Amino acid sequence: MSPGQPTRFRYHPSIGVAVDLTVLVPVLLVVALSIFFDFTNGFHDTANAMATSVATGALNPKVAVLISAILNLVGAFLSTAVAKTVSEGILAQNDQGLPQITVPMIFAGLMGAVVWNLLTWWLGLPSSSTHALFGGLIGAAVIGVGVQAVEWGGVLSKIVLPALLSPFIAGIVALAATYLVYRVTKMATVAGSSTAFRHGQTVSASLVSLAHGTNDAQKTMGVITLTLIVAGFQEAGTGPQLWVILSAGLAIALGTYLGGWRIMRTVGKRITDVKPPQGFAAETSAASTILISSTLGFPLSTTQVTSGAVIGSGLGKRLASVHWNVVTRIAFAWVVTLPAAAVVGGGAAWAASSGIAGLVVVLVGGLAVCVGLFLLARRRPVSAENVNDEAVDADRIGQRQTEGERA
Amino acid sequence: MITPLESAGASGWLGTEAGSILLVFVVGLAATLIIVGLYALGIRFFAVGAPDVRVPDGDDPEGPTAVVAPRETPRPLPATMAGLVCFAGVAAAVVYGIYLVIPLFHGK
Repeated sequence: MSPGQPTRFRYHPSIGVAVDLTVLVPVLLVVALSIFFDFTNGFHDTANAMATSVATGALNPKVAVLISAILNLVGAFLSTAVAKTVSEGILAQNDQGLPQITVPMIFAGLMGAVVWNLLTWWLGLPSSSTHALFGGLIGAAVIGVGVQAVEWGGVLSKIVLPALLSPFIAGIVALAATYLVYRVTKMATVAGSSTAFRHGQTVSASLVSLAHGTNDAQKTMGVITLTLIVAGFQEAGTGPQLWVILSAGLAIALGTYLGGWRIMRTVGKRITDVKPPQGFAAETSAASTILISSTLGFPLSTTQVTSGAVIGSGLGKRLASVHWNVVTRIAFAWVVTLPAAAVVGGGAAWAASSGIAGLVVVLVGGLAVCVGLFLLARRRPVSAENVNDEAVDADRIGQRQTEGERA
Repeated sequence: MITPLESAGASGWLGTEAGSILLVFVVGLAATLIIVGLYALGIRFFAVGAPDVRVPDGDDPEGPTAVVAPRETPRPLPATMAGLVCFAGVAAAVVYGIYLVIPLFHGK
């Protein structure tokens, strides 16, 4: 802990001792908001693994989200390696290996991430939850501490560069795989091929779900653990506690089960109308790219890999059309996710730095935005029943896009 | 077997990152093509003796214009064996994938 920090951030051997409320309240708020972020993360990313399976009819929509939720929950318990190093290389660390960030700033950063995740969900855009989280934290750290609180080289090499390249990598792999699959099965006219591709796709999609759980639930655990350490409730260098693992796993599973149908429809139907061979090729490409990249120590975003793979599978089929206006919207969302979450996180950090009153303002403002987006979404709901129905449209922007597609 | 790269240090990150991206691309492309290729071959072997779905060029083989005919001859044993070998290869890849996902298995 840096000498400049107030003494109230001392390690408390047990939470049972009298604890300063100005410390405890922000910590409780961060824990609650982290779990809510984790929920939106599952909600947002269900599409990654299951959109193409739902689109091709490989899985019934309700069954797809159930499988994905269970595998995400299982994944959350499999490893806590990522959780320990969640902010490593992104936020500058002091001599104790802790980032120079305070609890209200983490709260502000999380608020930025949650608001951005819900906004892109309402728009039906598959943007990276991880980028939203890091964007929010970066914005909060820059406003709260200064530009030196962020390791810009790490941001470039760990976030920006992979984000630019992963859709192309996954896209080219999926393109080649789709082409090969269609060649070998004579444009899927070989007897039984469509059914077989549906079974294969279910397996690859499940692997993607499992990998997602091992990665994304970790990030929330990491944020909660970081908060507990910064506030002095937990020793530096220790891993997440059981209740943290449990609540993070359950939150992401619940979010996944409730399902981001709006995003699923975009990935499964609106980028290109995914057929069984394409779904198989896309999910297998995504699964192997994700697994190989994390094994080689260069993890790529699940969201961007799957979206890239779906685009590639559209290009790999003869005569298949990719709706480039939808792709352009997705690409735009990817580019602005980190800066936009950073702006919200920075603004929230500025407000929250004024003390409890500022925190309350951020809390109320953030909740108002979330409730507003949920209410807006209810006006044109996308659910398990109409996720594959091309007649409905999720939002007004989407309506305009559909008209453009027909033209 | 895939071995993890040592993480890039503060210096020379661009060279290392570019190298690992290229490696991810090459290994990912090769692994994916082998897996989907084996799976598609397995489907071909299992379909020996059954006529293809007849469909106008470019139409959906599951669409209304598709004509599905019943199997003409039973599948010969060699085709069954070859198909099983293909599917076994894919199953091995899936098991290896699960092994990679679960850090407990490789001590990380």
